[in-house]
Amino acid sequence: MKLLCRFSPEIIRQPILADTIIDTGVKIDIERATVDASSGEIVINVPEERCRSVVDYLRKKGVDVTRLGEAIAKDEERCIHCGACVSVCPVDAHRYEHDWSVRLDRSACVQCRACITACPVSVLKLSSP
Amino acid sequence: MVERTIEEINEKIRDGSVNVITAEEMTSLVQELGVEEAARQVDVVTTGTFGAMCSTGVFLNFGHSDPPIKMQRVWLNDVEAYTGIAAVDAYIGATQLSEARGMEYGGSYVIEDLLAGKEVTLKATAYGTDCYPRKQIETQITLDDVNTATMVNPRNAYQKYNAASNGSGKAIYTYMGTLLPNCGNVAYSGAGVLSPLSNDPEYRTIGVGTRIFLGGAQGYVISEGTQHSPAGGFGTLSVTGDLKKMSREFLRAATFHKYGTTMYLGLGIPIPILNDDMARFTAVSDADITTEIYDYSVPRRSKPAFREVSYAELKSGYVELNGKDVKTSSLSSFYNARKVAFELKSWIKDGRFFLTAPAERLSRDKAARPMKQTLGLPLVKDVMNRNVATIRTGFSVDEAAKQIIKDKFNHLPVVDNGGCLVGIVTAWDVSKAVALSKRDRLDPIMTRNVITVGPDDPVDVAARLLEKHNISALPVIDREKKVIGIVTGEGLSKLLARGSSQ
Repeated sequence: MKLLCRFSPEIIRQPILADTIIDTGVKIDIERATVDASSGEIVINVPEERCRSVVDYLRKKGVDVTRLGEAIAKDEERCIHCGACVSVCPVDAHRYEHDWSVRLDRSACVQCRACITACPVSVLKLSSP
Repeated sequence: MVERTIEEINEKIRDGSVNVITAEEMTSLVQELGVEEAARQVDVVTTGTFGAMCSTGVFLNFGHSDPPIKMQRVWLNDVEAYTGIAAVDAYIGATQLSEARGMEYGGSYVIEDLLAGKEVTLKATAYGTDCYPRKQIETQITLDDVNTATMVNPRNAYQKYNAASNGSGKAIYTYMGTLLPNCGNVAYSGAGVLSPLSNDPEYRTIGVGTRIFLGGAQGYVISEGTQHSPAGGFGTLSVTGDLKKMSREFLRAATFHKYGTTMYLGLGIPIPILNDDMARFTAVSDADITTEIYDYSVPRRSKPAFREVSYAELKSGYVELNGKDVKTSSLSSFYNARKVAFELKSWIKDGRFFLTAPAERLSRDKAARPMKQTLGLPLVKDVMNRNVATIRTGFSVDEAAKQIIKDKFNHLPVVDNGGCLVGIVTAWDVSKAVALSKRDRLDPIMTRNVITVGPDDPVDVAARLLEKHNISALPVIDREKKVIGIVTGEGLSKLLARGSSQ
């Protein structure tokens, strides 16, 4: 299960994720992190069965947690296999195959949305969480 | 040494004995057998490309209405077409945007909708004459309803194209797609080994009148294309074909985010292997075709080049840029370029496509010149306010407030002890800090990521930055990041107003 965690400026300096890992004992995988002067956004991946405890813990610490819905979806029929999505993807979810077709590995997607606007023929969609 | 003529090749196409392979297969064959043996075996090499070709459009003839109209302006699904020609003819271009829907719909989409058999709303206005009394018309048409739908593309099939990256700190959205900040990616376009003109770089067989594959139908080369610059290896072609015979598989409307609409189009050209030279040309590989990676964050005609690169490197997935490996991706589709080359190959094999000799050769030494600009280009240094007040970092909010009141200026660049720009505060930032009683230090309230211009940038670049970032002033800095002036939206508006009244 992927979770989008938003950190407000008040708590951004606290080692909340480290605390979460130690106190819940859940292995948390960080998939994407953007932190700037005013806020931070981190996408984490947690095992489905331990999700509840992680969400509860983070919320208690003041983190705004949203469960991310479906990964990016692609209209395979209408894809023209250019590759405009390939180099903007931070996690190599879009890749060229040996025959130069472009394939999407949905399990790798971190829902950053970069490919949605990069696609010239609008075949990529993200169902909102 | 082999010599064969177009007529001999066409005879072999007719009797089914022709040997056709794609340009990619030819590259391997020549590597394996050598030029002479490959030339002996192969009659025709097919090429293909499938990329964004903005210079795509269709001449439509609607037929006469009753009473007749001499169209003065015409719209198809709200996209304007050019009709400053004979009464009911119009040219719909791929990049013309919808008047109501903007970039999400445009001329390319009208063309795709027509090809898909959809109804399109035609609206036209006119001034009325004795022979053409009608002043307006609105009707629904399909591709079947128009008399002709002739695709005429003045600049297609670029021999190769510049690759693009972005040296600035912010993402930019260009006709080369999304370019991530700090050289986060490299975008390229062109079919490399399959590129039609790269397989006949001396334009010996591709010329005026050459029969080609265009959008899934047979088309023709009209002449060399606009911006044809063979001297630098950037030849282009002007081509034509019948939209009614094309296939949706090889033609797709597209939108580049924050740039506009364009058309992806499949184009292929057969190269007759008349002799060893042609076999050698068509043996060209991705490693042999080089281009430059330019910094597209510089919005000028001459952009700084990062480095030279071959299509083989671009297609490897990564190129080295400033000491790091940067991910590459193509905007044109090599997958579909291959499909074009294979489709054309099967047409020729099946006796459905015959080769032509050029009626005239294309220029080999031209270079496209830049636009002649008769009015001087105003530069930032000509319009900037040089009496810019600055404040040193470490001062308090109260001192900034005093400075703003004293200079009657809304923006106060913050500089370090050496006079280099480190941030900016506005009157609004100061008021907010006072309201929140955070008046001791400037650092927490200033904007650090300041958008700036250089003194030698054109005023248009400054205007675009103000608009793009929705800000009202830009500090002007020199090479050492020293603040030497400021330009404001207000100042630019005054200048533009003066310019237009002259």
